[in-house]
Amino acid sequence: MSELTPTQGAFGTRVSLRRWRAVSGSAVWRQPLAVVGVSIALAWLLIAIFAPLVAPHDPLAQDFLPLQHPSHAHLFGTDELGRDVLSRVLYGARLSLPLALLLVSLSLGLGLVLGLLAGYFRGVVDGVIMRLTDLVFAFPAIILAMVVTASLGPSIRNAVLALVFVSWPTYARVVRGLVLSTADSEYVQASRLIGASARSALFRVVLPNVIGPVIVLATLDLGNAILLLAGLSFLGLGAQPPAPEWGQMVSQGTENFQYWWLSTFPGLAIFTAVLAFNFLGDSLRDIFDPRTMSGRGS
Amino acid sequence: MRRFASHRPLVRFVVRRLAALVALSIGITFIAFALTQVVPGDPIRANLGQIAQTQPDVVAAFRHHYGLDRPLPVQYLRYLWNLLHGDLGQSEQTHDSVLHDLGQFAPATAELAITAMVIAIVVGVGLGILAAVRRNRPTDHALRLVSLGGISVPTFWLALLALYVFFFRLGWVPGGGRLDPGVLAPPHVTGLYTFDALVAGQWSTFWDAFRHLILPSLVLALFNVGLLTRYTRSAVLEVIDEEYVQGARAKGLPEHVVVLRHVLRAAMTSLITVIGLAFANVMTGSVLVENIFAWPGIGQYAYQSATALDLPAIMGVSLFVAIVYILVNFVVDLLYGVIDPRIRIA
Amino acid sequence: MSALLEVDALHVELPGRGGYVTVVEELSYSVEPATVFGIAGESGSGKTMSTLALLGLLPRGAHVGGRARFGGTNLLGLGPRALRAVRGRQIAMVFQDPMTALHPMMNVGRQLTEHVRRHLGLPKREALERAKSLLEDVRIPDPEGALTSFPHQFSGGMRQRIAIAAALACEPRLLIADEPTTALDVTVQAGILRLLDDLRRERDLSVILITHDLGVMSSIADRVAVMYAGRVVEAGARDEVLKRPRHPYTAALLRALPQPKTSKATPLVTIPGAPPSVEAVPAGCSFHPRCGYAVASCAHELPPLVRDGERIFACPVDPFAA
Repeated sequence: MSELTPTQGAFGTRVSLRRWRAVSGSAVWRQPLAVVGVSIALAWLLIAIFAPLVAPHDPLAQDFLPLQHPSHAHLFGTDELGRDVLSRVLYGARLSLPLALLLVSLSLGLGLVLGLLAGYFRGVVDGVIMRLTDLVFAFPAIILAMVVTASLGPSIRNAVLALVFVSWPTYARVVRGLVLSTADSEYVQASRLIGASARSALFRVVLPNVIGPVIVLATLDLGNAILLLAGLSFLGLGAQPPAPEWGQMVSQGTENFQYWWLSTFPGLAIFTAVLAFNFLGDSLRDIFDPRTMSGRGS
Repeated sequence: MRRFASHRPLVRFVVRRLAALVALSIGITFIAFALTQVVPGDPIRANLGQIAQTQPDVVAAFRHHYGLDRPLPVQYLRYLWNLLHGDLGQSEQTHDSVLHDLGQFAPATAELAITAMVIAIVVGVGLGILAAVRRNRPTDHALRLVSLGGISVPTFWLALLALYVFFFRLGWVPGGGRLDPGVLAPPHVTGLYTFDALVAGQWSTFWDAFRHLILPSLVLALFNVGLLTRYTRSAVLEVIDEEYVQGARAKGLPEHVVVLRHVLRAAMTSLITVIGLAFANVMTGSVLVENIFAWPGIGQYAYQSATALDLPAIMGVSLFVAIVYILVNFVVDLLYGVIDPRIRIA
Repeated sequence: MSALLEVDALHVELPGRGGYVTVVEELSYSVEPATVFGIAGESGSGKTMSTLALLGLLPRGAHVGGRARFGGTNLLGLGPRALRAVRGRQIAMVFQDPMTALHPMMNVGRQLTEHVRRHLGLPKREALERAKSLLEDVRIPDPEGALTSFPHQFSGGMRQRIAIAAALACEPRLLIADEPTTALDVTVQAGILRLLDDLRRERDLSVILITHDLGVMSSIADRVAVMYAGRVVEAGARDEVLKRPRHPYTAALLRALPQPKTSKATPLVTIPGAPPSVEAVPAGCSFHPRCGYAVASCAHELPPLVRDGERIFACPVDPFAA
């Protein structure tokens, strides 16, 4: 495991390559949970891509008797507008998965840039960026996201923006920490001794060492992203009807309480998708050094 | 060489932390203020409704009255000044002062959050220790599944399912709110109904409040049970092979004393960090849980003011929650110093 | 004089990656009352595991065979409860690194009293009094103040003295000291060794001293056993073994000691090669790949332990015959 810590080894790129081999190679597949996680996530991804082929009906068409129990004709029943719940759940993957990916990549991108800046320039830049992360951390994510979405107007786009706004600091802090520890390590000193410029050291040596752990962090974060997006939609601050969004569908069930299938199945969809990423993320954390993963904390 | 750890470093530590806390609070007011500026729409017009259409001079008068015609920095300073005097403005929804509203709703959330935290800490830390002690055995593997499941369940969905099963199907618990209709709240001491009812000796009120509290707090606790189980496990594993743990066994102490006294104490510093994190999760969860269980707390207030764009209320809630949150982190920092004598000196 | 501890054919196997590996084999020795018995060897030779086995402190899943008679009972046959009554009370342990052997977040007073109160049933106040006098015994300045201090407030040598005080708190009859001076400065080492020697005399205490440092051994041990790859290769009275070694390994260890009298120009002597890992112990005499005296039979025949008066050794050739 020691070869996986970002600060060791004589050549940064080789260390991170070895780390990737550990991740893509046998280490992951020895973890049954990772295999289960990857399988479920892949299944949802395929469903999202081929939704029109796998869904029995149009998710928006109000073609059927409303509020039918699950049956052979409608495995997950129908909702209060006579739409097929199964089809809506399957189409829901087309919203939740890409949006979660988008959300995580945007926060990762923003956090990566700001973290690199903070770690590279240090001093005032570092101070300003780190105080900003302190500020965002001082608000519970959902309250801040709620206020931002409400201010910008409830829509799925604004929900994503609001959540980017609250989730970049974790990445920024981890990246900054990794940059600081890598930049001070012997091999960066060595590469600068043999004449590499500071900037080329940042991109050739530091960046590859930072990317690995950050990707793991992002995997761990995917599940959370799905949960938060669904939560905002549940509150009516994200996806708007009639879009087949899982959180929004669960909230439909609150108004028709006794018709349990309305919220049970979309909820199960959220649960399995989040579980898949948590299985994968937890296994990855086992492989990597868990201590590089704590973004919060002072 | 020894005994230079008097109380003075601790004092300096507290002062430094307090200064950071004040700086952070000012930053938060700035963010809260900035948020109000990005909101589209005009609160005065919204408030005045019809009058705004017909009488522009009234609008201007209101603007002037609230200082909205002044430059932004002046508005901000004025806002800070009012804050210092405990004036958070008036909610446009409840037509009460925001401070009064917060005082009204905070105890409900406090009762829910504290109960959920206690459940999460007791169960989560307990299960985490169990998993660590049985590491790589079936119990550990099962607990890994349970804890990962716990952090994967959408809280709002779990709340609905729980309500469906335990209220709608089984009728074991009431459907929502803090008390049955017709039951009077106990005399106000803390605002936590269960506690106040006990203090007043009103057993039936206590029982009613407790029955209302149990399901939402369990639902709210689950995510943190999963989180704490996982973190406790790794925190315990990090110290369980230390020489002083083996040393405690070599002294002839029974295993439960070794684990609960020596191992847990050493793992405590890492655990406290997570407990701070868990608190943030409870605040997040309470917005959703309060919504579903019709629990009249801060989460509901935040949600309603956010959807109604009730600016003073939004700013008040953000400020309040953020300050509670940094206070919790402040306490966490202090606890580090109390638990680990080495930190007091550093 | 009957022995305090008699270890007979101790055998320890630990669960490894590919099944069980033997870390201690056919280990027999006895410890007389109020004497210091030294076990020497390089790291991985099984010396620590052999003592952990006596107290039932081996990792989970370990297999232990043989017998260890201590005061009329076989330690290896005791259940967990009975073993706990022995640990700390009859047999106490001091570990290698005083930086990690004391709990960093518990004050010294508590660490000196918790087992005393449990084993001897003393009330808190009495236990603390006793702890104070123990700290005096191990020469800690200001024992009263030390009780409320934490380990990080002391130097390494002082911490080791505290660890020894904790070990002696229930007046055990046997103290197992596992490399008690390895992590300390040379000057501090001497102080700790003198302390152990004094305590042995004052308290009628027997000590098992585990060390890789024959210099430490020669200063206080009465009898010495040298272990290599889980087996004893030579044992006997200290002066006999250390002055006239009969086994090439003992001789090599002695040669590797820095000699204060030789000139600075003399290079340090090292033993060629590295000790074998427990998973791949060589056939025959496990030392033969590194031995300058090995003959053909050493590679496949395990040399039996030969008794010669007070001493035993396991080597067919006599490298020092001439």
